[in-house]
Amino acid sequence: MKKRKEADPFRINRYDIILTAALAAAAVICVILFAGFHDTSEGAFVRITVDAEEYGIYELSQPVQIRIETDRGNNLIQIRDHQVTMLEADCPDGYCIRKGPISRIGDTIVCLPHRVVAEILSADGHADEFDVIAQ
Amino acid sequence: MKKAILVMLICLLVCTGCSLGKETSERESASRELFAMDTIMTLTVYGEHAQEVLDLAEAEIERLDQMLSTGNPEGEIGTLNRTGKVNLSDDAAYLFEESLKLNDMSENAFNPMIYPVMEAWGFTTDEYRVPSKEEIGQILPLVDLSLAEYQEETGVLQFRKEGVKIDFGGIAKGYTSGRLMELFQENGIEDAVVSLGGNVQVIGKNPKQELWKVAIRDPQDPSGFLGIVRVTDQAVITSGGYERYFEEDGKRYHHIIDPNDGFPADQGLISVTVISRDGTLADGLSTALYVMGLNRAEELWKQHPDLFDAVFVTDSNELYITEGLKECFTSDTYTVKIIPE
Ligand SMILES: [Zn+2]
Repeated sequence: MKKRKEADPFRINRYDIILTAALAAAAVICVILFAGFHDTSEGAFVRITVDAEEYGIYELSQPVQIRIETDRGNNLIQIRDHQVTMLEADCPDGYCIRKGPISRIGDTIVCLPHRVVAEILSADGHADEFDVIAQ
Repeated sequence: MKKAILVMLICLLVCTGCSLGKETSERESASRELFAMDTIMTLTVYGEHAQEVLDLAEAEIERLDQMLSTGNPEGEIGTLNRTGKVNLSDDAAYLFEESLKLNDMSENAFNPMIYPVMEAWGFTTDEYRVPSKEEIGQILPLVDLSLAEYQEETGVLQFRKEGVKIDFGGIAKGYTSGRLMELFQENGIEDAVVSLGGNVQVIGKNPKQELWKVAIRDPQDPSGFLGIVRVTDQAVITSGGYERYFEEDGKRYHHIIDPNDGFPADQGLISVTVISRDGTLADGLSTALYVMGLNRAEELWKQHPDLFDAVFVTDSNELYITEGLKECFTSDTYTVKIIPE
């Protein structure tokens, strides 16, 4: 008698299966919703770093070309139509140019030989620093 | 085994619960980007019916742009400059009266009649040239607000002299951002931020329920900021020669022309930011203070410390703020000097 009772909580019955399925479904829906709201949406800013030091944060709404010249080499980054493109680079591999335009939050262009990184940020991805730029 | 599954599921539930909670606690919001008044504008509002309110905002911007653009011959200002006479709407009449105040306050450092001089420099067409002193000397007498006669009873504005032209471009964006804030509040929006080509105005709080953090562009470093000012219900408007200029024979000529002599202002300032509840005033004063230079700007502020605050950067790389900003301005790049009341 006693032994059977102790074993009971470890046996999976059909309510457990239903509960598990419901929870799993809820989790999946939540994850999809969460991703839909965040990870795949269009960014508002791009942060450029050179050798892991912040070089600048730019609004995607303001068309501009940013020329970065360091001892490692030269890069020309373009912001236009809400997209960021590596326009020119004299790096040996040219991967950064082939990456093409980026605009979604979290997207990056990396020029490894020159240690130049451009990362798309959300409107509040930089909010510890600021909300808007006066210029 | 079953325990492990349960623990895992509870974790999942808690995690997704958190993210769900975060989503639902965020208010309705909408953002829009549009081109008007020869610049890019971004508007973000938080509150109910955010999209509909932005539709209203866009229509209002369109209306004011049509009315105030010097490039629209059928608009109010276009008609005035073409024919020398027009019936002013309430908006344009307000801008004219504010111009008189700003002109008086700044001892002619702000003057909307500067337009013929801007034409001579090519700043109105982007076909830049350096006019001679004689040429400027001939045009400068047109830059005189007493040549514009406004009759309040009839609402008619009339020029007294041939060749006179007016341009409210120096305050139009500040006026527009102020109008947008009114429109937002009338329609139940509590929090909003707009940037009309870098002219910023905000109401309420940022999404983190803090003061809005406005980064101000560093005139010495187009990638960096001279500092951050934390504000609510304020316009933050920056003027600097670095915004628009051309070079000829190795000399740089920027677009902020001193109405007193018709040449680019050169009073030792490279950037002026005005922070004020009044967008029109902030816009007009940012150029006026730039033209006046630090000492006279300081005097003007001491006469009106309740009207505005300001951030100045001099050509010797010194940064000054008026005392009212003491608690809300920070800079990583400059040593901040405070102008006391
Ligand atoms: Zn590369």
